[in-house]
Amino acid sequence: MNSSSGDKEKGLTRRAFIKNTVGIAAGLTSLPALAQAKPENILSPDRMGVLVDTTVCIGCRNCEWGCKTSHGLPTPPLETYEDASVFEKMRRPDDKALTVVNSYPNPKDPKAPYTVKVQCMHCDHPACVSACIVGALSKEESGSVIWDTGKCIGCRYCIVACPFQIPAFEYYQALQPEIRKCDFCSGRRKDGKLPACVESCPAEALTYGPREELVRIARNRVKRYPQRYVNYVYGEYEVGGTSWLYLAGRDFADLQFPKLGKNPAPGVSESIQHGIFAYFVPPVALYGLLGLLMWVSKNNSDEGGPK
Amino acid sequence: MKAIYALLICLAASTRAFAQTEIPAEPVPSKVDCRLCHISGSPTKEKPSLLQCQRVMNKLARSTQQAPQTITLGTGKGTYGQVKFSHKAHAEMGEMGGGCYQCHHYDHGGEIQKCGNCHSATRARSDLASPDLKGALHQLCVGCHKEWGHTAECSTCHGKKNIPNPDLPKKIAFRTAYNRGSIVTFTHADHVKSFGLKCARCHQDQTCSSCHDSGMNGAPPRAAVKDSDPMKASHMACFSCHAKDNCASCHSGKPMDTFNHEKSAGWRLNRFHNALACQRCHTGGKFAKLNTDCQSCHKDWQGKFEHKKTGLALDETHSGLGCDSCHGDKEFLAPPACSACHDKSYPKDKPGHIVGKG
Ligand code: SF4
Ligand code: SF4
Ligand code: SF4
Repeated sequence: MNSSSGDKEKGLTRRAFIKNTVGIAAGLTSLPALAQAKPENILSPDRMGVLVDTTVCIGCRNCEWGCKTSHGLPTPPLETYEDASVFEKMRRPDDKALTVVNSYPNPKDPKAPYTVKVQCMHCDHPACVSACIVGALSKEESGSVIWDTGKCIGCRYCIVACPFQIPAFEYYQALQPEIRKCDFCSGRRKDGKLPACVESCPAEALTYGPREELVRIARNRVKRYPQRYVNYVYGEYEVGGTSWLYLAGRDFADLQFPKLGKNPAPGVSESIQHGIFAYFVPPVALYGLLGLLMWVSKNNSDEGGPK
Repeated sequence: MKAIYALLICLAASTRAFAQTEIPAEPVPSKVDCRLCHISGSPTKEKPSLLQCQRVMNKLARSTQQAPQTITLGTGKGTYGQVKFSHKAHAEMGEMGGGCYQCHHYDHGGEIQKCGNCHSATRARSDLASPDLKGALHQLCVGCHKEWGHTAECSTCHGKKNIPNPDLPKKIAFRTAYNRGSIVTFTHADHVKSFGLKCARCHQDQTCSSCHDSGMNGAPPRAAVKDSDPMKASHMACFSCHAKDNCASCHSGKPMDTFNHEKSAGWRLNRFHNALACQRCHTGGKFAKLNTDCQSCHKDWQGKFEHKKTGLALDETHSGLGCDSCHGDKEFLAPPACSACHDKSYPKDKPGHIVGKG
């Protein structure tokens, strides 16, 4: 989708990147300069989000199918998704499935278990973006936290930084591994389409709309059906707020939602030596730098030829 | 004089002005308080001043008699085909759990509103307070279907797959405290299928799975004899029809057989008649002996009857004959023997060709 924006841009990025690399080479400790080179975190007041109502979700996994189909990931036909045996073990999103649905017992009605769709939360102050030393991840004004193949060096900082353990690595790709995660259908949304999972959901367990309105709707649902919901909108304040919001019928901790504070994850909105970075950056950065040099020299060699 | 005119004009003007600000006459009383949905006291067509829909449950009593039989849902444009929703069957089942408003939650007393009047046909929309049509329908249906079907298989509704009928008991023997005949046999299937007893007359506030799960999905088999409910409740359910019967017509020492028309009335029902509710023939609530001559009920069948519907299209020779030429003794169930008319030299062919039952 985004790759169609042209190789020219990619080339420019690379050139800019080489400068950055020189910067890094000049001094490993001058990382703040890089942090400032990252895109500014612009949060549009009418940025979009998705409200996932796990009490409405029927566990059909059409969203998984929709996501894969729209992102060119291989998938068996839709009918095979009716097989409920996948719920026997917990799954995490990975590079082959950007979103997955898990099942949890429902103490109120054992015959109707809760099913919970998991994907990137599209944090308003994304730790992954702050962690990325090359600016491969960015938060778009519309809410999407997207990832740029051209810039990513596969250093895995984002994997470590994400409080929701979302970014996944193509482990089988030894040379040019890609970080994969839900992109909130950034491309589709730019074309005026709904996110693929929202469109595929038969029950509208996923409501797509302006985040502020979704918060209102979520609170309203809880108020109207206090028996049905726990009085909490997950994502409203977690790590400074996320674009994806959740409602649930039982405690969020029981549905394996991490308990997080209201403040953005450490390292976010501060210069990157702070917080987690102070502890693990140097060794990983060194590792990353070596990777970078390899990558740059590799790209330099094929930059001359037409792509 | 001028002053008086001026005064009169002023007075007239003021009464007019007053008349205009007068509160309009009360509208025709509706069954529902308008203020349930309209915020202001005088909504207009242009400015209905509607509340945000609160999914008000207006519990209006509606009869399922006029309920449409089936409704086709969906556009069929998506991955899955349209759904032939057995509306009437669901409406009747709904009577057991609360009535029409379980689904028709917005009912202001007039014509039943179509779901699509409020629920948007498109998912990308500005008013997100209530789900779009597709979402609303799935939310309604899947809740129950998942509960008793233990699956959200799309093909259950979108497709030819038959939704399993509840495995209804033929009869239920109740053990009671009555010492001159402790067992009461309730011929469940007869009452429901033939006598036209509505499920909701006995079953109230039960979940779908209390019927749909029994006998399915590995549920334990039913007990041969069940302990009866306290006397009052169980008698009330039966008395509405059996008020004039004496105790012995229900209470006996052992479980009774189901109703047998041949044994009780001396006339064997064929498979077509057997499937009918009693009232189809015994009209007016009387169960007296009827004339067994076919024409007494089937008055204007002539000219409409097509033999090929039975699976055999008659040839020219036989189609000219009267029915009783072949079907003696009004026996229409078993095929007649050719030898009743033809001697040994009759042609080996059938009196027409087999077309199969449609
Ligand atoms: S959930 Fe993780 S990957 Fe997604 S935006 Fe937040 S930090 Fe980044
Ligand atoms: S928003 Fe798009 S990328 Fe994210 S889970 Fe949904 S379909 Fe997949
Ligand atoms: S498509 Fe909707 S209902 Fe189905 S599993 Fe995904 S979120 Fe749940």
